[in-house]
Amino acid sequence: MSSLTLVGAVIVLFGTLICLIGGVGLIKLPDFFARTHAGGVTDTLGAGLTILGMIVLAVAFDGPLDYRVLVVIKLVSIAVLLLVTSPIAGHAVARAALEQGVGMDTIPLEMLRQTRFAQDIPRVQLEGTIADQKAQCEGCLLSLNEYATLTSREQLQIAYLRPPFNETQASEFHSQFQSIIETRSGFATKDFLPGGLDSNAVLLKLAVEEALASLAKEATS
Amino acid sequence: MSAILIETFTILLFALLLMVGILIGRTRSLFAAVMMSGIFSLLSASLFVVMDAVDVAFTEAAVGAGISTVLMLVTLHLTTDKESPPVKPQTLPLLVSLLTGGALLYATADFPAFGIADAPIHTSATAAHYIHQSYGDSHIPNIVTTVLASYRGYDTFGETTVVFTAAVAVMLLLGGSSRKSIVETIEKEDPIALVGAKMLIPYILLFALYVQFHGDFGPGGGFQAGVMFAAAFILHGMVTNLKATQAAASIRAVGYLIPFGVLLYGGTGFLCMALGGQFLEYNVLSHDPVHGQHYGILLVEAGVGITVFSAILMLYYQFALRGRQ
Repeated sequence: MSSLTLVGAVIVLFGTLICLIGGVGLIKLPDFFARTHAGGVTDTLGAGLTILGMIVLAVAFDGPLDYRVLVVIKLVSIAVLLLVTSPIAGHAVARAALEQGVGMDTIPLEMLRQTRFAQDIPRVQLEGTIADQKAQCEGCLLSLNEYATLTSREQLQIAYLRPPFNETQASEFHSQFQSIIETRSGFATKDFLPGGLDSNAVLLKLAVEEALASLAKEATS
Repeated sequence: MSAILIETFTILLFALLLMVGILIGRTRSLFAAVMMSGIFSLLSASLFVVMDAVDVAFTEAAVGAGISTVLMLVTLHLTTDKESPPVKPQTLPLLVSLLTGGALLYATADFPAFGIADAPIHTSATAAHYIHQSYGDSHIPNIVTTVLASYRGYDTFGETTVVFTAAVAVMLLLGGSSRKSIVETIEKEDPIALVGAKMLIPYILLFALYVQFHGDFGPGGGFQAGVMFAAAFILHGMVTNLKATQAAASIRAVGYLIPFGVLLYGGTGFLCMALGGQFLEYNVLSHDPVHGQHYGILLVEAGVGITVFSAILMLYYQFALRGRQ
Protein backbone atom coordinates (compact mmCIF):
# COMPACT_ATOMS: atom_id res chain seq x y z
CA MET A 1 0.00 0.00 0.00
CA SER A 2 1.50 3.30 -1.06
CA SER A 3 1.59 6.25 1.26
CA LEU A 4 -0.76 8.13 -1.07
CA THR A 5 -3.38 5.39 -0.66
CA LEU A 6 -3.02 5.70 3.09
CA VAL A 7 -3.51 9.46 2.92
CA GLY A 8 -6.60 8.98 0.79
CA ALA A 9 -8.01 6.39 3.18
CA VAL A 10 -7.43 8.68 6.16
CA ILE A 11 -9.23 11.56 4.42
CA VAL A 12 -12.18 9.30 3.59
CA LEU A 13 -12.24 8.16 7.21
CA PHE A 14 -12.32 11.79 8.37
CA GLY A 15 -15.15 12.51 5.98
CA THR A 16 -17.23 9.61 7.26
CA LEU A 17 -16.42 10.62 10.83
CA ILE A 18 -17.82 14.09 10.15
CA CYS A 19 -20.93 12.54 8.61
CA LEU A 20 -21.27 10.46 11.77
CA ILE A 21 -20.94 13.56 13.93
CA GLY A 22 -23.64 15.17 11.81
CA GLY A 23 -25.85 12.16 12.41
CA VAL A 24 -25.31 12.35 16.15
CA GLY A 25 -26.04 16.07 16.07
CA LEU A 26 -29.22 15.40 14.15
CA ILE A 27 -30.46 13.28 17.03
CA LYS A 28 -28.93 15.04 20.03
CA LEU A 29 -29.30 18.75 19.32
CA PRO A 30 -32.18 20.49 21.05
CA ASP A 31 -34.19 22.28 18.38
CA PHE A 32 -34.97 22.22 14.72
CA PHE A 33 -32.51 24.85 13.52
CA ALA A 34 -29.59 23.42 15.44
CA ARG A 35 -30.39 20.06 13.88
CA THR A 36 -30.56 21.55 10.41
CA HIS A 37 -27.19 23.12 11.11
CA ALA A 38 -25.77 19.75 12.17
CA GLY A 39 -27.18 18.06 9.10
CA GLY A 40 -26.36 20.73 6.55
CA VAL A 41 -22.89 21.83 7.56
CA THR A 42 -21.47 18.42 8.35
CA ASP A 43 -23.06 17.03 5.20
CA THR A 44 -21.16 19.47 3.03
CA LEU A 45 -17.82 18.95 4.75
CA GLY A 46 -18.27 15.21 5.25
CA ALA A 47 -19.24 14.50 1.67
CA GLY A 48 -16.56 16.91 0.43
CA LEU A 49 -13.81 15.23 2.43
CA THR A 50 -15.00 11.77 1.39
CA ILE A 51 -14.85 12.75 -2.25
CA LEU A 52 -11.46 14.43 -1.77
CA GLY A 53 -10.20 11.20 -0.22
CA MET A 54 -11.58 9.22 -3.13
CA ILE A 55 -9.80 11.56 -5.57
CA VAL A 56 -6.52 10.88 -3.74
CA LEU A 57 -7.28 7.15 -3.86
CA ALA A 58 -8.02 7.37 -7.58
CA VAL A 59 -4.71 9.16 -8.18
CA ALA A 60 -2.90 6.51 -6.16
CA PHE A 61 -4.75 3.70 -7.93
CA ASP A 62 -2.48 1.44 -9.96
CA GLY A 63 -4.19 1.55 -13.34
CA PRO A 64 -4.20 3.17 -16.76
CA LEU A 65 -3.81 6.95 -16.72
CA ASP A 66 -6.88 7.81 -18.79
CA TYR A 67 -9.04 5.68 -16.52
CA ARG A 68 -7.78 7.50 -13.43
CA VAL A 69 -8.24 10.90 -15.05
CA LEU A 70 -11.82 9.97 -15.93
CA VAL A 71 -12.57 8.91 -12.35
CA VAL A 72 -11.07 12.13 -10.98
CA ILE A 73 -13.14 14.24 -13.38
CA LYS A 74 -16.31 12.41 -12.36
CA LEU A 75 -15.53 12.84 -8.65
CA VAL A 76 -14.80 16.53 -9.09
CA SER A 77 -18.12 17.07 -10.86
CA ILE A 78 -19.95 15.22 -8.07
CA ALA A 79 -18.15 17.41 -5.52
CA VAL A 80 -19.14 20.59 -7.37
CA LEU A 81 -22.75 19.40 -7.55
CA LEU A 82 -22.81 18.66 -3.83
CA LEU A 83 -21.13 21.96 -3.02
CA VAL A 84 -23.96 23.78 -4.79
CA THR A 85 -26.94 21.65 -3.83
CA SER A 86 -26.21 20.66 -0.24
CA PRO A 87 -26.07 24.18 1.29
CA ILE A 88 -29.07 25.25 -0.79
CA ALA A 89 -31.05 22.28 0.43
CA GLY A 90 -30.15 23.14 4.04
CA HIS A 91 -31.07 26.75 3.42
CA ALA A 92 -34.39 25.80 1.85
CA VAL A 93 -35.31 23.56 4.77
CA ALA A 94 -34.38 26.21 7.34
CA ARG A 95 -36.17 28.95 5.45
CA ALA A 96 -39.32 26.92 5.02
CA ALA A 97 -39.27 26.14 8.75
CA LEU A 98 -38.75 29.79 9.64
CA GLU A 99 -41.67 30.83 7.46
CA GLN A 100 -43.83 28.18 9.08
CA GLY A 101 -42.79 29.47 12.49
CA VAL A 102 -41.00 26.33 13.63
CA GLY A 103 -39.10 26.90 16.85
CA MET A 104 -39.72 30.64 16.94
CA ASP A 105 -39.88 30.55 20.71
CA THR A 106 -36.19 29.76 20.97
CA ILE A 107 -34.86 32.59 18.82
CA PRO A 108 -34.04 35.77 20.72
CA LEU A 109 -35.61 38.91 19.35
CA GLU A 110 -32.33 40.66 18.70
CA MET A 111 -31.23 37.80 16.48
CA LEU A 112 -34.44 37.96 14.52
CA ARG A 113 -34.16 41.71 14.13
CA GLN A 114 -30.76 41.36 12.52
CA THR A 115 -32.07 39.09 9.83
CA ARG A 116 -33.95 40.31 6.83
CA PHE A 117 -36.88 38.24 8.03
CA ALA A 118 -37.68 40.92 10.57
CA GLN A 119 -38.87 43.11 7.72
CA ASP A 120 -40.37 40.22 5.81
CA ILE A 121 -42.70 39.21 8.57
CA PRO A 122 -45.93 40.87 7.56
CA ARG A 123 -47.86 42.81 10.19
CA VAL A 124 -51.41 41.85 9.52
CA GLN A 125 -54.21 44.23 10.37
CA LEU A 126 -57.11 42.02 11.28
CA GLU A 127 -60.74 42.91 11.01
CA GLY A 128 -64.09 41.36 11.73
CA THR A 129 -65.09 38.80 14.30
CA ILE A 130 -62.67 36.57 16.19
CA ALA A 131 -63.46 33.74 13.75
CA ASP A 132 -62.58 36.00 10.83
CA GLN A 133 -59.37 36.99 12.52
CA LYS A 134 -58.46 33.39 13.05
CA ALA A 135 -59.04 32.74 9.37
CA GLN A 136 -56.80 35.67 8.50
CA CYS A 137 -54.15 34.37 10.83
CA GLU A 138 -53.98 31.09 8.87
CA GLY A 139 -50.49 30.80 7.53
CA CYS A 140 -49.18 33.60 9.72
CA LEU A 141 -46.05 32.97 11.64
CA LEU A 142 -48.05 32.33 14.75
CA SER A 143 -51.75 31.74 14.85
CA LEU A 144 -54.08 33.39 17.29
CA ASN A 145 -54.30 30.20 19.31
CA GLU A 146 -50.56 30.01 19.53
CA TYR A 147 -50.40 33.55 20.82
CA ALA A 148 -52.71 32.58 23.58
CA THR A 149 -50.35 29.82 24.70
CA LEU A 150 -47.22 31.94 24.74
CA THR A 151 -45.80 32.26 28.22
CA SER A 152 -42.16 33.17 28.40
CA ARG A 153 -40.80 36.64 28.07
CA GLU A 154 -38.88 35.64 24.98
CA GLN A 155 -41.99 34.35 23.34
CA LEU A 156 -43.68 37.64 24.04
CA GLN A 157 -40.85 39.38 22.32
CA ILE A 158 -41.40 37.23 19.29
CA ALA A 159 -45.08 37.91 19.46
CA TYR A 160 -44.31 41.60 19.25
CA LEU A 161 -43.17 41.06 15.68
CA ARG A 162 -46.62 39.89 14.72
CA PRO A 163 -49.43 41.71 16.52
CA PRO A 164 -52.66 40.03 15.47
CA PHE A 165 -54.94 42.85 16.55
CA ASN A 166 -55.40 46.29 15.12
CA GLU A 167 -54.64 49.52 16.95
CA THR A 168 -58.17 50.13 18.17
CA GLN A 169 -58.41 46.74 19.76
CA ALA A 170 -54.98 47.23 21.26
CA SER A 171 -55.92 50.50 22.97
CA GLU A 172 -59.14 48.88 24.19
CA PHE A 173 -57.14 46.18 25.83
CA HIS A 174 -54.78 48.76 27.19
CA SER A 175 -57.45 50.90 28.77
CA GLN A 176 -59.31 47.94 30.22
CA PHE A 177 -56.53 45.99 31.74
CA GLN A 178 -53.62 48.36 32.25
CA SER A 179 -53.75 48.37 36.03
CA ILE A 180 -54.10 44.60 36.30
CA ILE A 181 -51.13 44.09 34.04
CA GLU A 182 -48.87 46.51 35.72
CA THR A 183 -49.63 45.27 39.20
CA ARG A 184 -49.94 41.56 38.52
CA SER A 185 -47.92 40.44 35.54
CA GLY A 186 -44.58 41.84 36.61
CA PHE A 187 -43.68 42.56 33.00
CA ALA A 188 -42.19 45.94 32.32
CA THR A 189 -43.61 46.06 28.86
CA LYS A 190 -41.58 49.00 27.64
CA ASP A 191 -38.44 46.90 28.02
CA PHE A 192 -39.30 44.87 25.05
CA LEU A 193 -41.89 47.01 23.36
CA PRO A 194 -40.24 50.15 22.04
CA GLY A 195 -43.48 51.11 20.33
CA GLY A 196 -45.32 51.19 23.62
CA LEU A 197 -48.24 49.18 24.88
CA ASP A 198 -50.72 50.50 22.38
CA SER A 199 -49.04 48.74 19.54
CA ASN A 200 -49.33 45.32 21.00
CA ALA A 201 -52.55 43.91 22.18
CA VAL A 202 -51.36 40.35 22.24
CA LEU A 203 -48.96 41.11 24.97
CA LEU A 204 -51.68 42.79 26.91
CA LYS A 205 -53.96 39.86 26.38
CA LEU A 206 -51.30 37.48 27.60
CA ALA A 207 -50.40 39.60 30.56
CA VAL A 208 -54.06 39.87 31.41
CA GLU A 209 -54.45 36.15 31.26
CA GLU A 210 -51.43 35.65 33.46
CA ALA A 211 -52.70 38.19 35.90
CA LEU A 212 -56.12 36.59 35.95
CA ALA A 213 -54.57 33.17 36.44
CA SER A 214 -52.54 34.33 39.38
CA LEU A 215 -55.66 35.97 40.79
CA ALA A 216 -57.50 32.68 40.45
CA LYS A 217 -54.65 30.86 42.12
CA GLU A 218 -54.74 33.24 45.03
CA ALA A 219 -58.46 32.78 45.32
CA THR A 220 -58.21 29.00 45.57
CA SER A 221 -55.35 28.96 48.09
CA MET B 1 -15.15 -11.17 -0.14
CA SER B 2 -17.04 -9.04 -2.61
CA ALA B 3 -19.90 -11.55 -2.67
CA ILE B 4 -20.28 -11.20 1.11
CA LEU B 5 -20.11 -7.42 0.71
CA ILE B 6 -22.87 -7.48 -1.92
CA GLU B 7 -25.03 -9.76 0.24
CA THR B 8 -24.53 -7.49 3.25
CA PHE B 9 -25.47 -4.44 1.23
CA THR B 10 -28.53 -6.17 -0.17
CA ILE B 11 -29.75 -7.28 3.24
CA LEU B 12 -29.05 -3.84 4.72
CA LEU B 13 -30.93 -2.07 1.93
CA PHE B 14 -33.87 -4.46 2.18
CA ALA B 15 -34.01 -3.91 5.95
CA LEU B 16 -34.03 -0.14 5.39
CA LEU B 17 -36.75 -0.55 2.75
CA LEU B 18 -38.86 -2.49 5.21
CA MET B 19 -38.34 0.15 7.89
CA VAL B 20 -39.29 2.98 5.55
CA GLY B 21 -42.33 1.02 4.40
CA ILE B 22 -43.53 0.54 7.97
CA LEU B 23 -42.92 4.22 8.72
CA ILE B 24 -44.94 5.27 5.67
CA GLY B 25 -47.78 3.09 6.85
CA ARG B 26 -47.69 4.47 10.35
CA THR B 27 -47.33 8.20 9.79
CA ARG B 28 -50.43 10.34 9.50
CA SER B 29 -48.54 13.29 8.06
CA LEU B 30 -48.84 12.96 4.31
CA PHE B 31 -45.89 15.31 3.85
CA ALA B 32 -43.64 12.94 5.78
CA ALA B 33 -45.10 10.01 3.85
CA VAL B 34 -44.24 11.68 0.53
CA MET B 35 -40.70 12.39 1.70
CA MET B 36 -40.28 8.83 2.88
CA SER B 37 -41.62 7.45 -0.38
CA GLY B 38 -38.82 9.42 -2.03
CA ILE B 39 -36.35 7.71 0.31
CA PHE B 40 -38.02 4.39 -0.52
CA SER B 41 -37.38 4.98 -4.22
CA LEU B 42 -33.80 6.00 -3.61
CA LEU B 43 -33.20 2.84 -1.59
CA SER B 44 -34.77 0.78 -4.38
CA ALA B 45 -32.48 2.50 -6.87
CA SER B 46 -29.47 1.59 -4.67
CA LEU B 47 -30.70 -2.01 -4.62
CA PHE B 48 -30.90 -2.04 -8.41
CA VAL B 49 -27.34 -0.73 -8.60
CA VAL B 50 -26.16 -3.49 -6.27
CA MET B 51 -27.93 -5.96 -8.56
CA ASP B 52 -26.23 -4.46 -11.65
CA ALA B 53 -29.44 -3.12 -13.15
CA VAL B 54 -28.14 0.41 -13.66
CA ASP B 55 -30.67 1.40 -16.32
CA VAL B 56 -33.55 0.51 -14.00
CA ALA B 57 -31.82 2.22 -11.08
CA PHE B 58 -31.42 5.33 -13.19
CA THR B 59 -35.11 5.40 -14.01
CA GLU B 60 -36.13 4.67 -10.43
CA ALA B 61 -33.93 7.47 -9.07
CA ALA B 62 -35.15 9.98 -11.65
CA VAL B 63 -38.84 9.09 -11.66
CA GLY B 64 -39.46 7.60 -8.22
CA ALA B 65 -37.23 9.74 -6.04
CA GLY B 66 -37.32 12.86 -8.17
CA ILE B 67 -40.38 13.59 -10.23
CA SER B 68 -43.08 11.65 -8.40
CA THR B 69 -42.03 13.24 -5.09
CA VAL B 70 -42.40 16.68 -6.66
CA LEU B 71 -45.78 15.78 -8.17
CA MET B 72 -46.98 14.45 -4.81
CA LEU B 73 -45.84 17.66 -3.10
CA VAL B 74 -47.71 19.75 -5.65
CA THR B 75 -50.77 17.60 -4.99
CA LEU B 76 -50.41 18.17 -1.25
CA HIS B 77 -50.27 21.88 -1.97
CA LEU B 78 -53.68 21.50 -3.62
CA THR B 79 -55.20 19.39 -0.87
CA THR B 80 -53.92 19.00 2.69
CA ASP B 81 -50.93 17.38 4.30
CA LYS B 82 -52.82 15.60 7.07
CA GLU B 83 -54.41 12.23 6.52
CA SER B 84 -57.96 12.28 7.79
CA PRO B 85 -58.47 9.65 10.48
CA PRO B 86 -60.55 6.66 9.38
CA VAL B 87 -64.15 6.78 10.57
CA LYS B 88 -64.27 3.12 11.53
CA PRO B 89 -61.78 0.27 11.57
CA GLN B 90 -61.14 -0.60 7.95
CA THR B 91 -61.18 -4.38 7.82
CA LEU B 92 -61.78 -4.86 4.10
CA PRO B 93 -58.81 -2.78 2.90
CA LEU B 94 -56.62 -4.54 5.45
CA LEU B 95 -57.83 -7.91 4.22
CA VAL B 96 -57.19 -6.97 0.59
CA SER B 97 -53.70 -5.70 1.44
CA LEU B 98 -52.88 -8.82 3.42
CA LEU B 99 -54.18 -11.08 0.65
CA THR B 100 -52.23 -9.21 -2.04
CA GLY B 101 -49.09 -9.21 0.06
CA GLY B 102 -49.54 -12.89 0.84
CA ALA B 103 -50.03 -13.74 -2.82
CA LEU B 104 -46.90 -11.81 -3.74
CA LEU B 105 -44.92 -13.54 -0.99
CA TYR B 106 -46.24 -16.89 -2.21
CA ALA B 107 -45.14 -15.99 -5.74
CA THR B 108 -41.60 -15.22 -4.66
CA ALA B 109 -41.19 -18.88 -3.72
CA ASP B 110 -41.11 -19.65 -7.44
CA PHE B 111 -38.35 -17.14 -8.08
CA PRO B 112 -34.87 -18.46 -8.72
CA ALA B 113 -32.40 -17.60 -5.96
CA PHE B 114 -30.57 -14.31 -6.39
CA GLY B 115 -27.55 -14.64 -8.63
CA ILE B 116 -27.67 -18.38 -9.38
CA ALA B 117 -26.35 -19.39 -12.79
CA ASP B 118 -29.19 -21.65 -13.97
CA ALA B 119 -31.98 -19.14 -13.51
CA PRO B 120 -34.37 -19.12 -16.51
CA ILE B 121 -33.13 -15.70 -17.55
CA HIS B 122 -29.64 -17.12 -18.05
CA THR B 123 -30.64 -20.35 -19.72
CA SER B 124 -33.24 -19.01 -22.15
CA ALA B 125 -32.37 -18.89 -25.83
CA THR B 126 -33.68 -15.33 -26.15
CA ALA B 127 -31.25 -13.97 -23.57
CA ALA B 128 -28.39 -15.84 -25.22
CA HIS B 129 -29.43 -14.38 -28.55
CA TYR B 130 -29.48 -10.85 -27.13
CA ILE B 131 -26.07 -11.25 -25.55
CA HIS B 132 -24.38 -12.86 -28.53
CA GLN B 133 -26.08 -11.14 -31.43
CA SER B 134 -26.91 -7.61 -30.28
CA TYR B 135 -23.49 -6.15 -30.90
CA GLY B 136 -23.29 -7.72 -34.35
CA ASP B 137 -26.81 -6.57 -35.20
CA SER B 138 -26.47 -2.95 -34.18
CA HIS B 139 -22.91 -2.24 -32.95
CA ILE B 140 -24.39 -0.84 -29.74
CA PRO B 141 -22.53 -1.82 -26.57
CA ASN B 142 -25.46 -1.30 -24.18
CA ILE B 143 -27.61 -4.40 -24.66
CA VAL B 144 -30.41 -2.84 -22.60
CA THR B 145 -30.82 -0.11 -25.19
CA THR B 146 -30.85 -2.58 -28.07
CA VAL B 147 -33.40 -4.77 -26.32
CA LEU B 148 -35.64 -1.85 -25.37
CA ALA B 149 -35.56 0.10 -28.59
CA SER B 150 -35.01 -2.55 -31.21
CA TYR B 151 -35.69 -6.16 -30.22
CA ARG B 152 -38.65 -5.22 -28.10
CA GLY B 153 -39.58 -2.01 -29.86
CA TYR B 154 -43.28 -2.94 -29.70
CA ASP B 155 -43.18 -3.04 -25.88
CA THR B 156 -41.47 0.31 -25.66
CA PHE B 157 -43.97 1.75 -28.12
CA GLY B 158 -46.69 0.49 -25.81
CA GLU B 159 -44.99 2.08 -22.81
CA THR B 160 -44.69 5.40 -24.61
CA THR B 161 -48.39 5.20 -25.42
CA VAL B 162 -49.12 4.53 -21.74
CA VAL B 163 -47.23 7.70 -20.80
CA PHE B 164 -49.18 9.58 -23.45
CA THR B 165 -52.47 8.18 -22.16
CA ALA B 166 -51.60 9.09 -18.57
CA ALA B 167 -50.88 12.68 -19.57
CA VAL B 168 -54.13 12.88 -21.53
CA ALA B 169 -56.08 11.43 -18.61
CA VAL B 170 -54.62 13.96 -16.16
CA MET B 171 -55.33 16.79 -18.57
CA LEU B 172 -58.94 15.65 -18.87
CA LEU B 173 -59.36 15.19 -15.12
CA LEU B 174 -57.74 18.46 -14.10
CA GLY B 175 -59.56 20.60 -16.58
CA GLY B 176 -57.47 20.64 -19.71
CA SER B 177 -54.86 22.99 -21.00
CA SER B 178 -57.15 25.63 -22.43
CA ARG B 179 -58.34 26.68 -19.00
CA LYS B 180 -57.28 30.08 -17.71
CA SER B 181 -54.62 29.72 -15.09
CA ILE B 182 -55.42 30.89 -11.60
CA VAL B 183 -51.94 30.46 -10.27
CA GLU B 184 -50.95 32.58 -7.32
CA THR B 185 -47.42 33.75 -7.78
CA ILE B 186 -45.00 32.87 -5.05
CA GLU B 187 -44.92 35.67 -2.53
CA LYS B 188 -41.18 35.83 -2.09
CA GLU B 189 -38.66 34.48 -4.52
CA ASP B 190 -35.76 33.01 -2.62
CA PRO B 191 -32.61 34.53 -4.17
CA ILE B 192 -30.38 31.72 -2.90
CA ALA B 193 -32.50 28.99 -4.44
CA LEU B 194 -32.81 31.07 -7.62
CA VAL B 195 -29.04 31.46 -7.99
CA GLY B 196 -28.52 27.77 -7.22
CA ALA B 197 -31.11 26.75 -9.78
CA LYS B 198 -29.56 29.05 -12.37
CA MET B 199 -26.24 27.33 -11.79
CA LEU B 200 -27.75 23.87 -12.06
CA ILE B 201 -30.34 24.08 -14.84
CA PRO B 202 -27.92 24.35 -17.82
CA TYR B 203 -26.00 21.33 -16.58
CA ILE B 204 -29.17 19.34 -15.96
CA LEU B 205 -30.21 20.03 -19.56
CA LEU B 206 -26.74 19.16 -20.83
CA PHE B 207 -26.73 15.95 -18.83
CA ALA B 208 -30.19 15.11 -20.14
CA LEU B 209 -28.90 15.47 -23.70
CA TYR B 210 -25.94 13.27 -22.80
CA VAL B 211 -28.23 10.64 -21.31
CA GLN B 212 -30.46 10.83 -24.37
CA PHE B 213 -27.73 10.36 -26.94
CA HIS B 214 -25.28 8.31 -24.90
CA GLY B 215 -27.88 5.69 -24.01
CA ASP B 216 -26.39 3.46 -26.71
CA PHE B 217 -23.13 3.25 -24.81
CA GLY B 218 -24.01 3.61 -21.16
CA PRO B 219 -27.03 3.54 -18.90
CA GLY B 220 -29.75 5.88 -19.99
CA GLY B 221 -32.04 6.57 -22.90
CA GLY B 222 -35.21 8.38 -23.77
CA PHE B 223 -37.13 7.70 -20.56
CA GLN B 224 -34.42 8.95 -18.22
CA ALA B 225 -33.48 11.88 -20.46
CA GLY B 226 -37.10 12.97 -20.78
CA VAL B 227 -37.51 12.93 -17.01
CA MET B 228 -34.35 15.01 -16.61
CA PHE B 229 -35.45 17.58 -19.16
CA ALA B 230 -38.73 17.88 -17.32
CA ALA B 231 -36.88 18.12 -13.98
CA ALA B 232 -34.91 21.13 -15.23
CA PHE B 233 -38.11 22.94 -16.20
CA ILE B 234 -39.89 21.94 -12.99
CA LEU B 235 -36.95 23.24 -10.95
CA HIS B 236 -37.24 26.51 -12.83
CA GLY B 237 -40.94 26.63 -12.13
CA MET B 238 -40.38 25.99 -8.44
CA VAL B 239 -37.79 28.70 -7.79
CA THR B 240 -39.27 31.42 -9.99
CA ASN B 241 -42.91 31.40 -10.93
CA LEU B 242 -44.73 29.44 -13.54
CA LYS B 243 -45.20 32.46 -15.80
CA ALA B 244 -41.46 32.58 -16.46
CA THR B 245 -41.37 28.84 -17.06
CA GLN B 246 -44.28 29.03 -19.45
CA ALA B 247 -42.42 31.70 -21.41
CA ALA B 248 -39.75 29.07 -22.02
CA ALA B 249 -42.09 26.12 -22.56
CA SER B 250 -45.64 27.22 -23.16
CA ILE B 251 -48.37 24.86 -22.06
CA ARG B 252 -49.69 24.76 -25.62
CA ALA B 253 -46.33 23.73 -27.09
CA VAL B 254 -45.85 21.09 -24.41
CA GLY B 255 -49.33 19.81 -25.17
CA TYR B 256 -48.42 19.39 -28.85
CA LEU B 257 -45.16 17.64 -27.95
CA ILE B 258 -46.88 14.81 -26.06
CA PRO B 259 -48.49 13.22 -29.15
CA PHE B 260 -45.56 14.32 -31.33
CA GLY B 261 -43.21 11.90 -29.53
CA VAL B 262 -45.63 9.01 -29.95
CA LEU B 263 -46.11 9.95 -33.62
CA LEU B 264 -42.34 10.09 -34.11
CA TYR B 265 -42.05 6.59 -32.66
CA GLY B 266 -44.94 5.19 -34.68
CA GLY B 267 -43.86 7.15 -37.77
CA THR B 268 -40.46 5.48 -37.62
CA GLY B 269 -42.26 2.14 -37.58
CA PHE B 270 -44.37 3.08 -40.60
CA LEU B 271 -41.32 4.49 -42.39
CA CYS B 272 -39.74 1.05 -42.02
CA MET B 273 -42.87 -0.45 -43.57
CA ALA B 274 -42.81 2.07 -46.40
CA LEU B 275 -39.23 1.15 -47.15
CA GLY B 276 -40.15 -2.50 -47.48
CA GLY B 277 -39.49 -3.82 -44.00
CA GLN B 278 -41.83 -4.68 -41.18
CA PHE B 279 -43.12 -2.35 -38.47
CA LEU B 280 -40.09 -1.06 -36.50
CA GLU B 281 -37.64 -3.15 -38.55
CA TYR B 282 -34.89 -0.58 -38.62
CA ASN B 283 -32.56 -2.53 -40.92
CA VAL B 284 -34.21 -1.07 -44.02
CA LEU B 285 -33.71 2.55 -42.94
CA SER B 286 -30.23 2.68 -44.45
CA HIS B 287 -28.19 0.81 -47.03
CA ASP B 288 -26.33 -0.83 -44.15
CA PRO B 289 -28.52 -2.73 -41.63
CA VAL B 290 -26.29 -1.64 -38.74
CA HIS B 291 -26.68 2.02 -39.74
CA GLY B 292 -30.39 1.43 -40.09
CA GLN B 293 -30.50 0.14 -36.51
CA HIS B 294 -28.66 3.28 -35.36
CA TYR B 295 -31.07 5.62 -37.12
CA GLY B 296 -34.10 3.70 -35.92
CA ILE B 297 -32.99 3.57 -32.29
CA LEU B 298 -32.04 7.26 -32.39
CA LEU B 299 -35.49 8.18 -33.72
CA VAL B 300 -37.56 6.06 -31.35
CA GLU B 301 -35.46 7.13 -28.35
CA ALA B 302 -36.07 10.73 -29.38
CA GLY B 303 -39.78 9.96 -29.56
CA VAL B 304 -39.73 8.41 -26.09
CA GLY B 305 -37.72 11.34 -24.70
CA ILE B 306 -40.07 13.95 -26.16
CA THR B 307 -43.21 12.22 -24.94
CA VAL B 308 -41.88 11.56 -21.43
CA PHE B 309 -40.55 15.12 -21.11
CA SER B 310 -43.73 16.80 -22.27
CA ALA B 311 -46.03 14.42 -20.37
CA ILE B 312 -44.25 14.99 -17.05
CA LEU B 313 -44.01 18.74 -17.57
CA MET B 314 -47.70 18.76 -18.46
CA LEU B 315 -48.56 16.85 -15.29
CA TYR B 316 -46.64 19.43 -13.28
CA TYR B 317 -48.30 22.32 -15.08
CA GLN B 318 -51.73 20.82 -14.59
CA PHE B 319 -51.23 20.36 -10.86
CA ALA B 320 -49.38 23.60 -10.18
CA LEU B 321 -51.61 25.84 -12.28
CA ARG B 322 -54.74 24.61 -10.61
CA GLY B 323 -54.05 26.71 -7.56
CA ARG B 324 -55.63 26.40 -4.15
CA GLN B 325 -59.38 26.31 -4.39
